[in-house]
Amino acid sequence: MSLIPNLNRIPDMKIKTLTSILTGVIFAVSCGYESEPPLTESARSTYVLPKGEVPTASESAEAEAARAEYENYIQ
Amino acid sequence: MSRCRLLILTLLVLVSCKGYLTVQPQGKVIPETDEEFASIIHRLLDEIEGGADQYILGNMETIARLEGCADDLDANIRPGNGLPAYAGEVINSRMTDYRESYEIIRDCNIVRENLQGRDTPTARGALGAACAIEGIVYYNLMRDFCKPWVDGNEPGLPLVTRFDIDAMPGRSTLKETSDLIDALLNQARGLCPLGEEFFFDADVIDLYRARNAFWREDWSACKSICETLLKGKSLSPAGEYGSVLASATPKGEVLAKSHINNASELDWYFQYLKGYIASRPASASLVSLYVDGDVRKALFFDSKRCNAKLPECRLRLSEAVLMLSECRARLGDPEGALEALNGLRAARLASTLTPENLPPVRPGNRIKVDATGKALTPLMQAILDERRCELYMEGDRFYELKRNGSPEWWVIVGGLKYTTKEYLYTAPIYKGDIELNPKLEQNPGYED
Repeated sequence: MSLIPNLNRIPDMKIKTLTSILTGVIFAVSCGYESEPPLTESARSTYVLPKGEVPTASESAEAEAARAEYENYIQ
Repeated sequence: MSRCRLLILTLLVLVSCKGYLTVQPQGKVIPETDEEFASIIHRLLDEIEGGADQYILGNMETIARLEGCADDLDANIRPGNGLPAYAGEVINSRMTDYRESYEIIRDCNIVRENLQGRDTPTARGALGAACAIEGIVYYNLMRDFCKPWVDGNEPGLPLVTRFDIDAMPGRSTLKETSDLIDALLNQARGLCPLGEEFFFDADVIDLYRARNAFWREDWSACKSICETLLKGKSLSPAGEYGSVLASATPKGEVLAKSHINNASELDWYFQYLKGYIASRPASASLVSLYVDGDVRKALFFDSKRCNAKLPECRLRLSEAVLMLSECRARLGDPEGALEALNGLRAARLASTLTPENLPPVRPGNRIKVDATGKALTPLMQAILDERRCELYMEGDRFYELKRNGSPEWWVIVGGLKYTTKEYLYTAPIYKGDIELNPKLEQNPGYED
């Protein structure tokens, strides 16, 4: 028994339809290539940004003094 | 039967995947001729001229980042818009800069490897430009991703001098990195003139050679290069200074600048950046350094003490004068140092400095020690002050802070204090490379 079906028994229209569908499927799954390897599970791309701290009273006063100096300068 | 054969033939044609049968990169062209290799370099030069380049000469975005992270603009007065508050905000984006810089190095290595030995003008020009660009990019990486020079044994950069996708070098020493920069720039210098279309001329390359020698504290070499560079040339006088800095193309003492193509597609973006930079006022400590009559004060700041200087990346002779002054001071020639400094000050209508009228060292200085770790002297303070005044808004201040002791300082933004700690002066190496290459050591201080 042949593995290849006797296509002479199948109407022309069906062969054309079958060929078209097969063509579409093959193009859809055909050879491509991965440009990048897959990410590893442990990959993290960033570092933790340093956190801000609550300023002391003197530091806040120093920043306020800088603002006051500026306001005075531009008047 | 014929239909069967037709179907089988169709199937065979459709499934024949040729991709694995050829070694050609998918959709890309492997250069062969001098012109094809030169086109790699011209793409990079086009980015410099159009203002897109951030990694070779730099652009307005580079300046906005560097000035946002430095203290010439005072975030304590008003943080402004669109600028980083301090260096800690940009640590992750710096890793992208690292990776993209090495892509430029890769391209330069491809050109260098293939054009070596070819003797056409195009080949020489492209090879020279590739050497110059690679040397400059390594120099920029060295200043950003390595600690400041102490004795040269500090960790340097991974050095890649030929195209090899399997290469995974560890970190060299800082001396080895600086030596490579020197070798590349000297090779570029030896090939000059490269031709106008290849952007880099002998003076530009010499300025970078001087910068490299300056960063590695080779004061003799730097002094020699600067003296040769300045021979027969003069600084732009006060009357022309404003137009020189505002010029779209290099003029007067400006040897080269990025963004000379004013029809660049990025111009709209640069308008926004200028606005962001002008949204944070200049610090009192900077503005107080300009003496009465100094043309720079009126040119650089508006009535609200906000930036009025065109924030472009420029290479100019004033920097060579400042390096020369500092080198002479360090080599025990204070008179020569003052002579150079006063030459610059005269061109800016600032008063003459003498050993007698040098201001005493200010106790409130942010920089308290010089690049060698010694306490500031009045002469060294005067040189550093002059550099701060002259190179304001040219991306220099952050590196001066780094070079001279990396002092810690803070800003208060949104009610919280953010400190530029010492480790933040040295950006983190791209995390992907650290994870992939066990020989590569990350800069300390960064938390996973």
